[in-house]
Amino acid sequence: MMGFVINIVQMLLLVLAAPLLRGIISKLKAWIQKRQGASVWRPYANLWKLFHKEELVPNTATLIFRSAPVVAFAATVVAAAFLPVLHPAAFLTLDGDIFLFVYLLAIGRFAMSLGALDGGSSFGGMGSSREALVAALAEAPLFLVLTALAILARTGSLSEIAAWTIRQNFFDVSTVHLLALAALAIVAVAETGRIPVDNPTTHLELTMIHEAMVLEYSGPSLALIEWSQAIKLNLLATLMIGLFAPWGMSLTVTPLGLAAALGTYALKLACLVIGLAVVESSVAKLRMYAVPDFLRVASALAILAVIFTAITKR
Amino acid sequence: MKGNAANQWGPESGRNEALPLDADRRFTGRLVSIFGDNTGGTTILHYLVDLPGAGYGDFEYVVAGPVRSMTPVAPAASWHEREVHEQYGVEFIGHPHLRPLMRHSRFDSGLPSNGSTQEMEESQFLRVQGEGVCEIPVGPVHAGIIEPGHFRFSVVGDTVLHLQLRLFYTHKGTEKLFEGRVATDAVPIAESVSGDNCFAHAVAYCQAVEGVHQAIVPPKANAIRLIGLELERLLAHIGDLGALCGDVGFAVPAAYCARIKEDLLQASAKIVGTRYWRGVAVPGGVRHEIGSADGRELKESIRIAVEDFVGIAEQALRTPSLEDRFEGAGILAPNRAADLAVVGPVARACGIALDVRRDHPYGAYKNLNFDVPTWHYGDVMARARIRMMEVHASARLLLDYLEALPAGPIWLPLPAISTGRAFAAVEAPRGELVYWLRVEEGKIARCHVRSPSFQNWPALPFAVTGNIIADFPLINKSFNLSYSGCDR
Repeated sequence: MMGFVINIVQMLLLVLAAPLLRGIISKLKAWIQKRQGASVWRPYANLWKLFHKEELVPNTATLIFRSAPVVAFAATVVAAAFLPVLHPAAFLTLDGDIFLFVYLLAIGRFAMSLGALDGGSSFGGMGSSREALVAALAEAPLFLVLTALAILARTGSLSEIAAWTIRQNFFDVSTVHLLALAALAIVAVAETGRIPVDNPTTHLELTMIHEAMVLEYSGPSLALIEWSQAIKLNLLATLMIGLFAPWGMSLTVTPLGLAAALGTYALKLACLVIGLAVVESSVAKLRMYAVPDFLRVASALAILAVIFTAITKR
Repeated sequence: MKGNAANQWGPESGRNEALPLDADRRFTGRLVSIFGDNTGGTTILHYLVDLPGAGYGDFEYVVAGPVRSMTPVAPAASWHEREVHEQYGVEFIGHPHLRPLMRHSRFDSGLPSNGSTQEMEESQFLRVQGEGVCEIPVGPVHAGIIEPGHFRFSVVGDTVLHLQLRLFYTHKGTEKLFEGRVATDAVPIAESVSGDNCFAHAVAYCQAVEGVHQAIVPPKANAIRLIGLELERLLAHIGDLGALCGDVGFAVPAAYCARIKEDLLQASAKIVGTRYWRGVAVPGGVRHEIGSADGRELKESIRIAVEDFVGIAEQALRTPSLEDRFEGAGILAPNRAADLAVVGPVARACGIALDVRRDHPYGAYKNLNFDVPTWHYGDVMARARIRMMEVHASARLLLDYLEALPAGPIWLPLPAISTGRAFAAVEAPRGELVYWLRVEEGKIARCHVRSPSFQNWPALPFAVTGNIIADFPLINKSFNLSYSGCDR
């Protein structure tokens, strides 16, 4: 029973703490730029504001436009239910949920692309086509990374992979893990629309990928989109932690163990976030046609990871 | 020769002079501007040209019937002729597409322009046709806080085949606003033509008024004007480089440049009481004294700012990911640049050594030996590099001048000559800025403003063609043209 409550708590943590993660990244980037930056709670204020605003819908839009943000949000939240955070178990678990996780994220993207097309503006269409390109190229490496780890752990469930990894010796890192981690890092950047693939803070319509798709949205719909985008970032960061560095997760459901698990999780998340802020501050955005090359590297790494599972001792 | 005006520019009446053409009937000068003027019911065209080795020339042409277009020998004449056509109803024979420039469907009433606004077909876009060609309209309202301009892209996939501009959304009829004003009081109008270059506009206007009055400006006033002009260039270039980095998502140098620019603006506010030097220039001199203590303080601020800027900008321009974005993007071929008579950093980035400060020195620049830095390739990187070099040059000038400011008055009353014509050119941060002025009895009868942006906008589509559409904002920013200055 206690375990069930923890599972729900960790899923809510992913959903509710996501805007904070965004706020912290903005704050870190501001510090690197020697600015004071907005409060880390700013994304919550922004969501609150958007939820209370009037929603404007283009005349040409149909039900698809209105429902896309809801579908995307729902899919992202459900994906969150499959991730182990504080202990190697999740709210929803089934053998092969790695497939479900990947395609829940894909459903969100698909819904948003359709919604953007339905909005009727030329930027929406442009954003959709670019998002589709990035999504198509990022899906394979993400999938292969999860497959490689599933082969090693001999299970197709995210929680079980995490549980298997905890039992391994930290210093006995395999080549597969290194390759897969590198590939997943690249995919995470592309999936969440961060620099160098996409610039989430740009105002230049012609350079946008994800932002171009959401240009027509306003009010509560926009709030849902922003929130699900924040959750997605949190999901991929937590996925990386769960797959590659789950040590510290509490194996028993005790208050002390859970507190320690929360602490180590926060620490690991902080490392990832600092890394992201530093990378985002030290490179320029890629030229649009260089994005496929970038993702090709991820694919190559992921394929190697899968091949190397054959020669790695189990 | 009567009635034959359409076939040649040859001297027809006493006032018409021939424009210089070489043996191949190519125009040998550089076209600066074409504009109309109405005196006593006759329309006179002024061809303002820069003749190599001979300085500026103002060729007049009395309009009697259709006029032969200059575009076959100088393509840069296209926008000028369209403007004159629209404002004065002059027909140009041989112009490839004589359609209105300013008036498009967004204007439903007459424009506050010069001369007669003719009823004409509205400006239309060329349709690019073919398999897979897609049209993308962008603007005039943009997602960011920038000036309005409409861009019509014809693309195949992500590659731009053709770009058409529709500007003049901020047309305020400024040239008309000047008319009837007391010439010595109209500086604020000039300052409002293009806000971030307001001091260059003010100085150019003041020099034109001083030209009419045949006034002598005291050396101290000229020195202060030089400081203002170079500081404005410094601000513009620092801001531009920061914005270029910001456009490729490189936020750190963008934030640093914004901070350095702000430091300089605050230093200006402290020394002359205004951030952008608004209200400082007046015909006959300047309004604000810079004492030696102030000069030293400003000098120190500039030294620190430039040091900071060079550090961060050099590092940014050497970052591989940024080099990858800047190099080879938005190449403007030198022959295109020359055909369209582009000016300023855009021209210098294509290897065209053009600088009013050296070619037609004015004010304190007359005493200077001046090197005009140029760069090759004409891509975004070249336009960034040329700005870096100009920051160095301007900083050197500023530090020298602030070290030893001349003594003497900062303003002298203008001689009482109140009728006449004059024009003045200033090297604004965006390039050659020209004011042409005709004053009758102390009141302005005609004032023509040729901003560098008006001259450079037509070149932008040539730099964009063949690039991917996602690079357009970057290429546009590397030109950094003023909409307001172009639209007037």
